Amino acid sequence: MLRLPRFRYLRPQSVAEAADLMAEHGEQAMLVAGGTDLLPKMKRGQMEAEILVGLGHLAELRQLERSDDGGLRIGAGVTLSQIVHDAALARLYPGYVRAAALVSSPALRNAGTIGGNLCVDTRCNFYDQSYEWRMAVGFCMKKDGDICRVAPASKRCRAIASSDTAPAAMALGATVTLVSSAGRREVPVSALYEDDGQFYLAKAADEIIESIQLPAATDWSSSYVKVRRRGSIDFPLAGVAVALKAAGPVIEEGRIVITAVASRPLDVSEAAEPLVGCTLASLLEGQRDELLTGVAASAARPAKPLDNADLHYVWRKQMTRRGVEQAVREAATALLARSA
Amino acid sequence: MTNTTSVPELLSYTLNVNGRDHQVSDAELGENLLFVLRERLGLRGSKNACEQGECGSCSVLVDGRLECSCTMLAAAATGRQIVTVEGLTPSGDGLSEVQEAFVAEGAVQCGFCTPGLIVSVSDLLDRLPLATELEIREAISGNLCRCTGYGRIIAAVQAAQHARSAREALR
Amino acid sequence: MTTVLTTGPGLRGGLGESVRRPDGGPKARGEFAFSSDLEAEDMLWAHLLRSPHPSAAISSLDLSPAFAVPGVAAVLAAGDVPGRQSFGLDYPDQPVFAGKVVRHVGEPIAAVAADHPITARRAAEAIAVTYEVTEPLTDPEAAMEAPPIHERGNVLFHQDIVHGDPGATGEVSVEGSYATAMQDQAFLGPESALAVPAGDGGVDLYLATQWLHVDRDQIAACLGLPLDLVRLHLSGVGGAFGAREDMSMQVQLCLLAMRTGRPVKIVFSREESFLGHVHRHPARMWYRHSADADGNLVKVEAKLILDGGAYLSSSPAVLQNAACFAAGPYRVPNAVVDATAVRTNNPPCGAMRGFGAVQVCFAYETQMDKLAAALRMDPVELRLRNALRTGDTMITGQVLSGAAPVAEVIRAVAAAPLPAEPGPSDAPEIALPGGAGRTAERDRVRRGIGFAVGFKNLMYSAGFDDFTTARCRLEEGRVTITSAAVEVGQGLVTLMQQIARHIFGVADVSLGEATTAGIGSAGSTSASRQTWMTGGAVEAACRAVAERLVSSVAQRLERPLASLRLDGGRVCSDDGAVDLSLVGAASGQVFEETAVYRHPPTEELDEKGQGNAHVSFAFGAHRAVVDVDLDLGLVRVVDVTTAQDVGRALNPLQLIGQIEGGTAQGVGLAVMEEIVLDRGTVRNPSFTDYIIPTALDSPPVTIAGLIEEPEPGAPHGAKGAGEPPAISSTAAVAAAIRDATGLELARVPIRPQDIALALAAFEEDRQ
Repeated sequence: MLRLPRFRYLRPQSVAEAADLMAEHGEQAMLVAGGTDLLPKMKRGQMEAEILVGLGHLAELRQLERSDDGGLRIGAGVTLSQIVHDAALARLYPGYVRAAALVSSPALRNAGTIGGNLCVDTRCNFYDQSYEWRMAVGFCMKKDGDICRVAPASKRCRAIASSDTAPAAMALGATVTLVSSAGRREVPVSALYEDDGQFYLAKAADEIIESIQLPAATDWSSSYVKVRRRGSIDFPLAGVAVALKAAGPVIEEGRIVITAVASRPLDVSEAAEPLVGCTLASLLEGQRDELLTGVAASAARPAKPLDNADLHYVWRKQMTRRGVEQAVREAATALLARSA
Repeated sequence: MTNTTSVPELLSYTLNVNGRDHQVSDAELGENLLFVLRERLGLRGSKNACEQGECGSCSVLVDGRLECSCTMLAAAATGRQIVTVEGLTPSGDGLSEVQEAFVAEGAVQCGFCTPGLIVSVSDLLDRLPLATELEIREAISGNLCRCTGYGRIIAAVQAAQHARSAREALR
Repeated sequence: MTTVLTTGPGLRGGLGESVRRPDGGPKARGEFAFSSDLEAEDMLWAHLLRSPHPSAAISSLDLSPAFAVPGVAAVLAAGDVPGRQSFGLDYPDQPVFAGKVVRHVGEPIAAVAADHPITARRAAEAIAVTYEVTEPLTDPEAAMEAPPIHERGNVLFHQDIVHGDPGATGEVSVEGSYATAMQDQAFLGPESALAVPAGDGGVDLYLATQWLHVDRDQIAACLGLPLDLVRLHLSGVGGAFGAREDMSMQVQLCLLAMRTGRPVKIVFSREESFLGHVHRHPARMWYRHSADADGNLVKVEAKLILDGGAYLSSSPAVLQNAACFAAGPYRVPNAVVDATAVRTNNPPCGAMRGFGAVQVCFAYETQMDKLAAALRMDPVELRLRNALRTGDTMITGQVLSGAAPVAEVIRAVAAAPLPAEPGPSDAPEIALPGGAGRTAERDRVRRGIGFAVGFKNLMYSAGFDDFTTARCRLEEGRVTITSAAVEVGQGLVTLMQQIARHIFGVADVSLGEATTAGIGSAGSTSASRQTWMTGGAVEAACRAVAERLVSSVAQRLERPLASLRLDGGRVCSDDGAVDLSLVGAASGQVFEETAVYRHPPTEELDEKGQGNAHVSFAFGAHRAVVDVDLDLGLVRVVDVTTAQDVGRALNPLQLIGQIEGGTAQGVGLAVMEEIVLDRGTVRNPSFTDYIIPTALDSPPVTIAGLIEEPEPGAPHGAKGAGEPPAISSTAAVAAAIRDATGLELARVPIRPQDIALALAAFEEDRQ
């Protein structure tokens, strides 16, 4: 039987109160909503907290509302399943909804929240193990140790970004609203992440994600491709989110975000520049295959997978290239269908 | 901060399970819902195969949603309606439509994954009575089974679908 | 003799019918008590402290910090074992607690009992152990020559087979080296048990296992108790597949119960389960097949190395199987096999469904495809040409006397229509490799088709005294069958009832408790043996009761015995004058008979690997259809079609369950299942990282043929059916992936990188 270490559990009555609690207890406290990431990790001693501040019961985190600019504001406590089953959302933000649909299994999507998924812990073979396992092999800097076991020369932890929805949200240009006792601020989702497997979240520990804002998606379509071995449950071995804009038959803008190949999702939108000016039809009818291959290669260039996940790192890098091609095609197909 | 409830280490609370309030006394906070259901309330239908949300053997419904009871703090489940496999089972020694289909179609072998699947499939058929084979496979893709290769399980879900539509046609 | 299957008129539930399993309702209701569901008044919880290192000397062990934890009732370690210090199925070389040395990750060092499972775990963690870590021996080939890591040496077992003329040559020969990874049984119900101390100084152990009596014998030896003071009772078993054949915590738990005088329960976590039971042996295999120009096999040469891990377990039997079946179900006049199981600091390996036969089938079937290519022959035709038939001699010199429908299973599979399932160009996206992840580019997906045939022995072999005991009791028209045979999920409980119904013609058949108390051994639920063995014992016990019943009627009514018979639940005379119900016939008497059933004796192999080592064999064939994404290397197994030699289908639905489930495990080994080892440490001891197929990864299984050729000597002609589905399914899927990719793929599981990186390298070379 797996045990949870001793801790205290606090049930604030509001987000503001939760923020105050986080400020009061500082490093000792952690937030918990769905619990699907935190609780197994506490059982394995990967995460420790003297105090858990529960958010799952707060109705104010479960609102979904249209914002003035035609975008959408989704409370961080909305579950992944709610996103998946929202048909209107799927029309507007197919990449984001797809990403949510590909997280873990149906039961965990029912519990897991979109805020929680943005904060999902980075993964590594040397870290995602029980306390006894890690002790035997030698602790790593992410927990209880001081070196990186996969890259001993590395000054930072090389655990892998594993959120599916983060890259999808980034490709949409989404923002998050962070609440702390000091106030409220809105930052791009991309600003949530550090290039460090251990301190992978750029937000302050006492900041709570209150909501995610998806901007208006007129003239945009989006896609998300996830490479995993099984049809369910698995974390991404490589993930690619793409958003393309085209009011008519020509691509006006493109964004690409890759994940599971570094410690944070990587915005590689520069690689999408050659797509601008391409007609959707030429891209999809195979006339621009070389261009697309080039886009995929430059998008995947920053991918630096290491030997700390399932399967070979060279393979995972290659998969990113193919994922980019697939995701671009899928988004372009949706735009073309819309323009027709 | 006055309204914040602080849950102490040894605690007592009420859980609503299968429509009934159960008092839990002197529990450790670290006990997850699965543990409390099994060891404190004696509801052992929910099974403990991985304890980390990887297998679906502990599936229960929480406020009508399918969840893994092993990744939920019991103390955080107060005020919510929990339904376990026991709550989907008719009294006496009868079987629900889904349970009957599982037995009749050979979907039960060792049976360890069965209660979780009964919960999962009952939830599916309530939401999506006409689920296609691929939808069925997707819906139970978080419930690992090692005995059957899922063939008879799919057959059972389809048999339950037929039984259900036959019943509704009669109505 | 083959019995014709008949059941009394109007009676349902006899042999040949898809009878419902008696435990199905309770299991579906969640009421069935698995070993992890047990409880007792005043019960303690146990936890084992395990070695985190694969190889180390223990220089000090301080248990006192654990005693100091409030709620702890007992802490035990080496030195607290009153009897034999070690256990083992074949030879007791595995310590109950590691003393001075640890030889694999997860080896138990101490055991704690406390009032709460969390407390027991905390206390175990408090124990202070000083390890002097040593370099683990993890390469099985190096292990043969390396300094011994155990007083019994590093070679666990060796088997040579020299058959026919070792110098024979063929016109065509093909050669290859193959490997299979370590597979886990990954049953869902974790290891668990409840030990209850008894007033007589003994102990009652309620547990999930595969063989109550052999556990009992080992436990009693370690406890230093006479056999009758150690009573084992079967609790609900959440799957087994070989992993419960060895002991995992039985002795430690009984010791804790006896030390504390209180019931003690243990339930493993999933990680403990991965570390706490034996796995399928990884194999390295070199082969050379020689044939004449017409495709007749002339000679098979093989060198097999199986990694047995730290302890012996059932390595000798696994290794002997690998050697005996090394040439496959083919006529091979000349053979040279050199097979060795070795000891390493890797996790111990032992029984898993199809043991020994699974590994070699992958290799010899790959060789058969290579040979077909070299001969420019159709691979199905090559297999048919060489298929074993009744009367043929195998490479062990044993003449195949029973049913051997090898050609029939091959033909059934080959003739089955290909799946109606749409091809890569028009399948729904979720049904492409990569599934809902939407990674597949349709025109880069290739379909492949592969065949494989395999076989294995049924029941225990090589001179083992293999027997089963069963009891039948007839009281007031009710039949009760009692046996210590273990139901692991396969449906033996249904079959025992079917047999009794078949003989007595009554619907009401109860099953007694499976226990060591009061009945003899039923042997192991393994080696596909219980349908035959316990089926035979139940049949014999029922017949003995039926005979006594009829003769008591004959005596009472003073009629000749020959004029009476038991038919359809009634004792009748030919002239119609006697027609009694069972209750009437028994006339208040209770009849009880215990029968012991043995299969015909087998003999050990001689030094050249020759001898009649096996009783019977079962054959099966698979055809797999796969879609492979050539760029990503992701594989979707679209369909598996199979035919199996079953002798007689006693319960078709349960038979299908065995075939589908075994096939899924074979598919798992082909494409995803592997215990990943890193210098003796398991890198993936969880269901997140040791991946088994989900409902989206398991193909539909089409059964093209249940070949019912009754097996002479088998009760009702039925052969065991659990293992063949797991034997050739792996090889067939691998062959299909080879067909789709053109790659050699000499190791399973075939990982996406094995396909994608190899094809990319191939492309680069070409450019």
